[in-house]
Amino acid sequence: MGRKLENAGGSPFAPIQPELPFGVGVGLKRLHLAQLLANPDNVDFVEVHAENFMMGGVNHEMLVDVSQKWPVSIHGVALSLGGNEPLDKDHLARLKYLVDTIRPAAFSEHIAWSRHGGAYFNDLLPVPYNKPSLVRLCERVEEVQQYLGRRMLLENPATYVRFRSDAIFEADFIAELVHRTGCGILLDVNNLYVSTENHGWDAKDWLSRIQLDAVGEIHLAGHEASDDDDGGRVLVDTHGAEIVEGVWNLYSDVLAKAGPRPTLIERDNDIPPLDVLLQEVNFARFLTQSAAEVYA
Amino acid sequence: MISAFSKSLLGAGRNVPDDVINIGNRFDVYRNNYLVGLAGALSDVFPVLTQLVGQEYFDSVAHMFALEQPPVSPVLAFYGSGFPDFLDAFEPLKELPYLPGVARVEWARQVAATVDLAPTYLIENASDLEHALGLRVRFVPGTTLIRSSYPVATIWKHHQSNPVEPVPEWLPEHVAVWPVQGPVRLEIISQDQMSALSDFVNARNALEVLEAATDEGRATHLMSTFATFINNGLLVPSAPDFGVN
Repeated sequence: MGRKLENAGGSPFAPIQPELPFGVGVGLKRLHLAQLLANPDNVDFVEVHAENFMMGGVNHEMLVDVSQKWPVSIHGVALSLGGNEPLDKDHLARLKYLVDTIRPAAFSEHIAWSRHGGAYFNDLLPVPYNKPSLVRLCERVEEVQQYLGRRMLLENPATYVRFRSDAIFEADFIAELVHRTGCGILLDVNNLYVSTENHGWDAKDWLSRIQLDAVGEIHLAGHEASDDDDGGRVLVDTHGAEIVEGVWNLYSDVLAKAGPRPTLIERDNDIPPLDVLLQEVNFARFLTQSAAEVYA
Repeated sequence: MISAFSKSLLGAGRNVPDDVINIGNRFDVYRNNYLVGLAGALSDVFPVLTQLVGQEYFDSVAHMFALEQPPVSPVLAFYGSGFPDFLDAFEPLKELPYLPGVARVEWARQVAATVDLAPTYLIENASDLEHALGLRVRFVPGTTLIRSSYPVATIWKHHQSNPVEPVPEWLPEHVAVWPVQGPVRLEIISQDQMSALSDFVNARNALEVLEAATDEGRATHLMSTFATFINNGLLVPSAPDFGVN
């Protein structure tokens, strides 16, 4: 189902064919697991944070079992690809073990950094968009893809500040990253919405500049609005609220342009009962299926 | 830029890297994310401590810890090993001197919950016992032994029920925490057992410890202790020592 997806720009990698189903999944939470297992068809895939399953023990065993039930998307949050120190080899080794043992349908990471000077910041920190950053990021993405022996998806960030040293528009930066490394895109529609609102960007212009055919997964999530010190409105990506109408509208725009894509409902804080999340899953399924009919 | 950004995140002041266009002081979103995220991670690891001091106070202490000792690993299950020592030195909590001990119990549980289980040995008959007495033994990986002047394990146990049960006697405790199949094992042990355990893991084998016993009664008692802790998985056979190292 769906159109054949191809890499843009003559990538040395095979054309991108998302292995995740063109359906809708949820981030796996332990408190929802029993209910999900009772009705596995309620979701089409599940996603987990890689770092939550790297300490071995019962967690890893549980994930092996889960991978027999649903396709799994492994989402890394700590490779610090946008950083300027050598990649953490121990972390890479743990990641490879996880990927080799779980054999996920997708593996994704972020255009961000999180580690410097021996400290890990537990956050996705912003990267300046300029040529030195791009060159460094491409080298590191290629290093990881070679090490893991598989293509990865890179997620667009939600950012709250930009840099004086920015020289490339975010979408062009991502398009060039895809072109140079053959990686795919994890398009976080909420992050796009948050960043465009925070920086006054045009989301449709942003979308017109990336290779939509390289989008292997979409994230949908909630954010929160607050006031900055100047009284301006700043949106913060919290994964702790319901998806707002503006994000749903932007998601519909993406589906209209790109066709259906595997879509994750991402909720990591203030986690509601599964039934509440499934309402968002079902709405995303409705939109995805509508897009599938258009693109059939 | 990254170096300056890092320093600003960990700095208590208001300085922001020159390269950041800091409209409305939005850089503070990153500072806040860092502190809130790590306080949440620590609170997950130290839930009884959180109960004892209250969420708000716990968060403020956790923020100070996060600025002083940032995580070194992205696996946050490993973050917090230094928190009990940090509490030891934290002047405002000196009047609650049992808190670092409770934190040590919680960290010990975290360690035990995140290791792969090692093979254990089961003594079912006299022949098994005879064999086990000749083995070099060690603590199963993931074990922590705690000596405290306060009833830290009892405090922890009594906070597993709602409402919290009062602690009947305020006595020193020796505690062993170790991984087993299923929930982590936490036992209050005697000072004598603590001492015997140390002897067993430091000896060439248990027989050596029994032979050094002052009388037959003591030897029988030690043998019983040995069998108990082999069978409950705290002591496991160690790899043979061929004298290579």
